[in-house]
Amino acid sequence: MSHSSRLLYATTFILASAGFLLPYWPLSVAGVAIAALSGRWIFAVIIGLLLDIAWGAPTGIYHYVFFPFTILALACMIARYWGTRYFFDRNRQEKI
Amino acid sequence: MMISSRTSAGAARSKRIRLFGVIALALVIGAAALWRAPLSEFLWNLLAPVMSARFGGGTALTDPTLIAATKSDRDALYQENIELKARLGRDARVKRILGAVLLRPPATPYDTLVIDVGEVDGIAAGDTVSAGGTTVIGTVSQVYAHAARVMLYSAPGQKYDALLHGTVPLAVEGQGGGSLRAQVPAGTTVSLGDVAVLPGIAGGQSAVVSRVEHADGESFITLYFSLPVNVSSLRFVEVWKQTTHVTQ
Repeated sequence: MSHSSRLLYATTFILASAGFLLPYWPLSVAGVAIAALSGRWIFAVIIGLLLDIAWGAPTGIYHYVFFPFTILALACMIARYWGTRYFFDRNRQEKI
Repeated sequence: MMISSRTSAGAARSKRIRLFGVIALALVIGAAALWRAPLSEFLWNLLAPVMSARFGGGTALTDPTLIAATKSDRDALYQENIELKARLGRDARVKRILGAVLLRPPATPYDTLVIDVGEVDGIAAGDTVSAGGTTVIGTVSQVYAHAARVMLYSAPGQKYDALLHGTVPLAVEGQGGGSLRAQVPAGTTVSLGDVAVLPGIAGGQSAVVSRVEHADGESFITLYFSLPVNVSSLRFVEVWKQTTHVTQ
């Protein structure tokens, strides 16, 4: 595992857990989204699932979403997949 | 040729891995949906020391002797309350039918229960359902021959009338997931842990204030409630044979 990867895992985990402990959910959203968008989608889904299990389903009209953080992680994963296809340079300069 | 076959083998392998990944992910999410309540309980037990350090110990009773003493105290007071009402010429006893919980979320839609008593046992739609004692949690919404579906007060869109402190009228609305909401005029004294009771001689506490929100300049205070019991750990309920308080 590279240094940047370690840093990313730590940062996103700290963000997600800070959001849980404060409690201030946008921080958790940021943690899960950054993890998924940076390609660590398994980690993002695991964190999202844990947050969903701990917090339960949202209330009110969003009740039927059931797993909002997991869905966010999956949505970010799909966004990254499409983004990589169309916007990002597939041959990153540092690898040439 | 060799390079081409290697490439196609690599692509097929990558496809297989991706397929297994998707299947594993679906299985994990499915399992989490199916066992959400026990998993949540396990997770909260695991996090209990962290949450206790972060938010303080709380006032929950943990000593079994203390719990037993509090319960017997409550039972004695409840009995005394019934007797006093009877002395004043009002019989406040309610006919109760015991039912066991057959299904609960996630086996049923959230905020609903299926119990093992039905029309044959004298259950009717609209009967109030209690978790035991004077803790009411919902009403019977559908009755079958030997079973009934209970709609909890916290179900989204469910509305009922209640009283805060026994006097302040409330229109409590379910929000789903065991959560409820109501508004009271600004200036009403409310604190965490206050209970909403059903109007009527039998009463019954239906919700506990878990959060109070009052924005500056607003003429109303928004109260967030939770059900007084953890529905996922309920084994038995009591069905009260009386009219419903649900207005919508």
